[in-house]
Amino acid sequence: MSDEQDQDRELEARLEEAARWCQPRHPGWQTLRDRLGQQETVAAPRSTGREAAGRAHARSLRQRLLTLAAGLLAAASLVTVISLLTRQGIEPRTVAANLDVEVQRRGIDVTIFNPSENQEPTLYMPVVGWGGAVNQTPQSGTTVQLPSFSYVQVDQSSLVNAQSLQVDANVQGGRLASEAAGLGMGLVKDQRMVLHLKQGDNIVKFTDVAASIDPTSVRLVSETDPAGIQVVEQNFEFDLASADGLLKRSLERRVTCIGKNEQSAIDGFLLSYDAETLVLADRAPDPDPKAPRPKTQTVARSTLKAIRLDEMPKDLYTRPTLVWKLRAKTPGDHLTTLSYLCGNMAWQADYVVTILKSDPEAGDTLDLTGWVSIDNRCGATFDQAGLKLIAGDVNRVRDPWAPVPVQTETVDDFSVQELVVLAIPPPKELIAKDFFEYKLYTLSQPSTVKDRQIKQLSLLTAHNVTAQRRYRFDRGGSPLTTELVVKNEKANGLGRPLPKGRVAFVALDADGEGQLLGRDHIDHTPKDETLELKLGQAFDVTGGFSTVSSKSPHAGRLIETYEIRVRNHKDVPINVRAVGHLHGERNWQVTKTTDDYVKHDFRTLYFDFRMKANSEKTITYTVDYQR
Amino acid sequence: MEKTDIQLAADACRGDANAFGILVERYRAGLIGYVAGLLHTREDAEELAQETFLRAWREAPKLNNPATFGGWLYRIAHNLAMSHARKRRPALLADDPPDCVAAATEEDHTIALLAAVNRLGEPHREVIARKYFDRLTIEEVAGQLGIPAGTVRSRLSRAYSELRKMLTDES
Repeated sequence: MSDEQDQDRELEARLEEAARWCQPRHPGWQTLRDRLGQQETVAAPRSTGREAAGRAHARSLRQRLLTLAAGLLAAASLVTVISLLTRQGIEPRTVAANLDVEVQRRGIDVTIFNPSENQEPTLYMPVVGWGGAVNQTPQSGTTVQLPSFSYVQVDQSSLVNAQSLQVDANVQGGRLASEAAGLGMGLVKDQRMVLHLKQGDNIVKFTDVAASIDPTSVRLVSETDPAGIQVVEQNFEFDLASADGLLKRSLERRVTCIGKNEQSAIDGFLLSYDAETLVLADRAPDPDPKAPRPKTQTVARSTLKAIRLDEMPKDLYTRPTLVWKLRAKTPGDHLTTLSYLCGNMAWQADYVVTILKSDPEAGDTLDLTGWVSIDNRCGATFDQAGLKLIAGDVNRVRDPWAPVPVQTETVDDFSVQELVVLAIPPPKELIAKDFFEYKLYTLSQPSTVKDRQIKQLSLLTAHNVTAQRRYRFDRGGSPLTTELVVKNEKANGLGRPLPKGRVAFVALDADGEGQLLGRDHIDHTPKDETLELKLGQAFDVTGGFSTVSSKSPHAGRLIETYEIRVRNHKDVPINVRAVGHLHGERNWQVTKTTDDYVKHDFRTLYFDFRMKANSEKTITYTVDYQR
Repeated sequence: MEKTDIQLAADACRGDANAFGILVERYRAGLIGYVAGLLHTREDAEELAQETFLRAWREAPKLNNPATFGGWLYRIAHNLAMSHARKRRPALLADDPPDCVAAATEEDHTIALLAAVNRLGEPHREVIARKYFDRLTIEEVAGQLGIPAGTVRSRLSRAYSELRKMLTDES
């Protein structure tokens, strides 16, 4: 009976896995509803049998005849209309030509690469700034009103701060923020339905795209008719209606500066501006050298409340926008896929190791939980997106024209608007798969990633993992470093690829409360490899190193004897690794040693040994160096 | 109160696209699994499932008994899959030399399981599809199929037992 239950449980698990495998992924599902609408449905016959079949056949025949007649009539009408239009010198127009082109989002996939060690940071649109969307819209409190007003009023405080916005964005945020700012990268695949395209050239605008787009990576294809759509021109409009953008566009135009008391106002033509001062002239500059020179004055921006512009400059966008000129061979609706790379997105893994049972002699028992933190500062919100995370060091090349990112590791304040922790119950889970030389983690269900949000997803949970405790002596003196050696094997409750990330160690005290023991960092660790986690300094295990003798029998030869002493003040036996460092630039040979060692690399020896409780151990070894 | 499949199918037969849309949501994962199980690959399964729905929508007015919607839909999928398999068979034979024996992958096991599900009787397959592919509770399955929850449980139990037997025989 129990066997059967076990088998049922196994079968259920397999069925659940199979069900996940069968979940729809194809983009065509997004358009199925539209495709249904394009199909002709027939009237519903409700009787059965041969009689019904006969009736249906007769009806079908009648319908075909009617359709044929209607078709002929329509064709004749169309020919007449076209000939009339042609005679009048007007191109035939489709029905779609009367409707504005409309863009509807149908689905979005986001693949996020973790910050790579072998990269130089690629910066995308320097103008947009490191902070992603910070300057895409005027700062909070700004009174820009677009676009129907006859003048635009901009709060002076935002104008003053406009120059420093990008810097502010950098100095905010913690470690993730600094990593995200320029180091992370995302690949966005955005499916949108472009409706009512007319034959010929169309201007199509896609908003809600990342502010930190790499414009050279943008690609748009029609899924409906790849050959029928040609991209004639593509522009990424990032000159947003920020305070700075407005002033730049108002040069040589009339502006009105309103004093802080709102009673004084200065009119003039804006000649130049910087963070502190505006330069105004009493008349518009005239290129004619004989024209009277205008009178100019400077206005300190700190004395102003607002600056009024007489008219709204053209070609300013409130949001980053991709604008295409598309040439369509066939009019109608097209399902398109837009893909691009963008900066200011990052993810990283965070692990929490809870030590359940502490036993320096037999080994510790741990619980390991892993989280993935996704940091999105790219300037766009991805609603119900398919999420994929790539773990591995993807090589990237720095844009030589991009400014050098400012690293701000010491600031603790997070400038994100919200931190979302999703304790996601199944089936929303990250599924790991091999992808080229990397690991690809796919979230089994779509999820929304908002701009300026850190989202956390559960990566793994492993219970009762065993770890060997080891004390490491490495140069210098006491005390020794405590390490946990964990085998990333299935038999040990793990056996899965672990993306690099931070590890926090927690142990339960006598009251059953978790206390932080230390932090470490792990690199990408494949399954069946060993994790060596450093906890901190041991209290009861100390050591020392000394060079006992150093002789040089002749030039080019050196014989040195070293001594490593380790003292265990614990009441239990312990495992120790003592690291011996050599002059690796010379040829060397260990001529005498009291203990066995393992050569780790050309200048490092490992002495692994076990010590009894309350004991002392001395290792002596002699090395003969020759040039 | 959620409509049952039969009610939705009746609405869809009268041309209610919203009702048909709900049926698409309910049936598509199961249908993808069914087609993948027939073709022994996931490739093309989703497109064929979509084609199945398109064809079903076109033919829905001709469906005399809405209670048979599920079986009828699967029959369309079956015919489409068979026709598709016939077309692609020569290419497969050319691509896979007979001496190429690869170890069974996780995907192979999944497909074997899906194929086994396909061989279940219609009532049993239906409850498996609803519970696992559509991630419904037993009560929800009962509500959608218009049958008591106890019946769903007993069908599931019988389905497990049949599946176990089929998979054991295969291995």
